[in-house]
Amino acid sequence: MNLQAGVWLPAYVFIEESNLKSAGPLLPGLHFKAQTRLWSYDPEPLKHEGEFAEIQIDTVTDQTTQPRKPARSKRSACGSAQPKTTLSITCRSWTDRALGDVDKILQTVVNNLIITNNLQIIPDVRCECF
Amino acid sequence: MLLTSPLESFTIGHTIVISRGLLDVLPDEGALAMTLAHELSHIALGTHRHPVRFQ
Repeated sequence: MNLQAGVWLPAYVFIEESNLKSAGPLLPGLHFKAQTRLWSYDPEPLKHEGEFAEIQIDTVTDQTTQPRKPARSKRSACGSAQPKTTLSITCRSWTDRALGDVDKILQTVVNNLIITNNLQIIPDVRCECF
Repeated sequence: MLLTSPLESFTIGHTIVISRGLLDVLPDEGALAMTLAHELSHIALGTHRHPVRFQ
């Protein structure tokens, strides 16, 4: 589904219709239902303030000399700069985890990759599991 | 055992999408980081049209 110019989202369309032959007068037995699901459709503004406090940095310090952008400043103010050598992935089976927890872990890994490689990507990169 | 979940990762705009089936078969954290780094490189380089599927 074309969300906007250059942005396509996966869409799931389900349509179910009863047998027309079994429908009586005025179609009392006819049932029709349809559902369209848009992946990751979120009409409300993004509310990810908490993710800045959950960033884990693997033995990396921010050494950039460029003026800090709001997002980076916020990370520095709220995030813990204490180095952690391992990510908080302790469960091998991802199916045991809630989808929100998985997304948070994936987002943490992506943020670590962005920071350690000093990437400047605007808007921020998100990561989700389906 | 039937592996019905797709093993797939791709990017849409600035969003990385990874299937749960792929997460389940990744052996360790390094493999996960490699997969995400691969998709991140597509975003950084501006190439978004190469979904990765494993069979």
